[in-house]
Amino acid sequence: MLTNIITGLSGSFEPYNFMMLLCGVFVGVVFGALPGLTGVMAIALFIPFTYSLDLIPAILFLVGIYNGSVFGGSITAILVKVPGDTGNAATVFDGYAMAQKGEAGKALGIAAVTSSIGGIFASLILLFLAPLLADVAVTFGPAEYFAMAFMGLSAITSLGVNNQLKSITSCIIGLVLACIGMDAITGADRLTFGSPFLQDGIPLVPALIGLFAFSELFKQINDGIQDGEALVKNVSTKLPSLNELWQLRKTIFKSSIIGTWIGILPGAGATLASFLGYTEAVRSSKKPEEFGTGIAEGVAAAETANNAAVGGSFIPTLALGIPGSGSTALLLSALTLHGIRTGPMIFVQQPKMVYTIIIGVLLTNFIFLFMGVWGTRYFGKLLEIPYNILFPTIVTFTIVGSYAVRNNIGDLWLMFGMGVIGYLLLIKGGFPVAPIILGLVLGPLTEMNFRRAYLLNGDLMGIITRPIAGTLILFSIIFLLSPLSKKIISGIKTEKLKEASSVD
Amino acid sequence: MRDRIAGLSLLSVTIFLFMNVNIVARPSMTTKGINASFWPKLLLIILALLSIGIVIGSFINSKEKFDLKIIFNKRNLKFVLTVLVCIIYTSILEILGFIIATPMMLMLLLAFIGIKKKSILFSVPFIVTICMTLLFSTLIKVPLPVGVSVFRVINKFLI
Repeated sequence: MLTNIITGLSGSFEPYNFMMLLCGVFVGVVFGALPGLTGVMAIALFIPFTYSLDLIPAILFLVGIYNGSVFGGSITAILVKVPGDTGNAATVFDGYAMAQKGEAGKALGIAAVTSSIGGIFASLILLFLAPLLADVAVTFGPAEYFAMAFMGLSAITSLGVNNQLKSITSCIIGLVLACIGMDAITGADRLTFGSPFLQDGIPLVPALIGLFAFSELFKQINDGIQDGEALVKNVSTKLPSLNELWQLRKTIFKSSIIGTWIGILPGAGATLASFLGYTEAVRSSKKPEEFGTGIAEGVAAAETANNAAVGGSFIPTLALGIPGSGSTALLLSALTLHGIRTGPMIFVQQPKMVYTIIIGVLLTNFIFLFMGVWGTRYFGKLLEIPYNILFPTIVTFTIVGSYAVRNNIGDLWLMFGMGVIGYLLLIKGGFPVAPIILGLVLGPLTEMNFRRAYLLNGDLMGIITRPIAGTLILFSIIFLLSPLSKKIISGIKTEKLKEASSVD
Repeated sequence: MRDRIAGLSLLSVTIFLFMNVNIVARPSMTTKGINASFWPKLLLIILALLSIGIVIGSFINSKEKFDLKIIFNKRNLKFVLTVLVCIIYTSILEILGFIIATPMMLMLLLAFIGIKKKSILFSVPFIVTICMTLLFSTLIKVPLPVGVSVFRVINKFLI
């Protein structure tokens, strides 16, 4: 093992290889930061460029793009409420609110550091435990996937502690929106009203841009702004202190584990990881009502988990030849193009290549940490641009970002429609935004896996009695009811105190 | 009052969707287990109950009387106008192309947001659109709408 690690280190630090890794991270951060341009698109665009390169620099370049893009998406998510990719949607909840409070530097700094820590954690797991975890991951069936998604949904009662009725309503709206489209099991059209565009379901990128960014733009149009005024005054580009980061250790650790595990599971990915990381942070917090108001834990939970998922997704890709995400599917095809077949034997047959890739994955986290920390002072200053310039730029970003994903005008209609829904429900109606996104993201995963599990197991008992699925569902029910039980307990305590004081 | 309007609107939409989910998702397409319309129906029933809860809650919590000014006011008119601009923009985007349609839309939105300086109103939308076209269309090769007929020629020339 030690010899392999040294071989990997020497391979990654060869000047040409390291330069390709550096270029890859830079390209990834740029693509990730531009709304509508995703890491998958960047990898697809640059695969032909790698044909002429040797295997190791080619793969390191693509690995750099993948990891860099997941981090890059946090920059626009924090600054202008437009997540670069769906994996950064959960970062918006607290990141944007922090930026609005003038703490853009702190939010960006936390995103860079925690993304890096999450990525390093997952890379170390990849380095030492890849084959073992890959074997466990394949035992996960639809029942376990359903239980996991249900666990994510169970956090809604914690997400909207101020108004749980509205929070649950928002989540159900998200789940209903996720139902739109052709049913994956029977092929029946659901709520499409005969529109071919809706048959594919609600695409996440334009939906998120509409709900987050365009609803905010509607609000700003209504509020109005003075000529030449910046949206946020006194933007601080001060990075978080070591003490502040130390206080986030529990959140970072939990999100690292969640992100890595979600990454290992084929078909899950950074989006699910960031939402589960975020909801777990809310659920276990002593002050869940503070989430969404711009607190460091919110940014740390989402960003740690999404980058940990990147490292985790390499585990099934390399150890089993099963891609854990869209980006790793493309990386797998790049490896195949270079004549490499992944699977359990790759660790024995191609140790130099495998360990160089793994060390490369590890190094990308240090590279974007450096880029992120260095760039924070400049990125943060973007908010000081007069709003009469920033506003049309954001509008154009939302338009191009929604259109660019599929070059489909329907996506633009959807984005505006979601903007209107977002404005009316979230800004005018006072419904929280996080549960609606949670429902939209987790909806398909929950429903499809529940129905698949039901088909496979015959009935509901067949799902509940599976050890992992049953345990996760049990915990989910406890999580779902815990805010209610807390209220009842505190009510009983207050009554007892009142009784005691009246006796005295 | 806000909650009452939100709850009633949600309830109306939910009822409308529930009536349609029956027609669109054909139960006959199910093989075994849960059919395609089960999940949306279940969610819509829950949503209807929650909407009723919101409406009832609004009657309990607020004694405020209904006033038409809550709906018909200047701010909401601005919102309706913005939505109209977005609808027109999306309708004409594929006819006029990105470079021609986008500055027009941005000008209107900047006027709505309260920008009065004519130099900004007329220059910034064009500069932003050109920069975005250079970045996305020229540099990253993301195809943007180029319009039809004469507008296509103009867009292609400008790109």
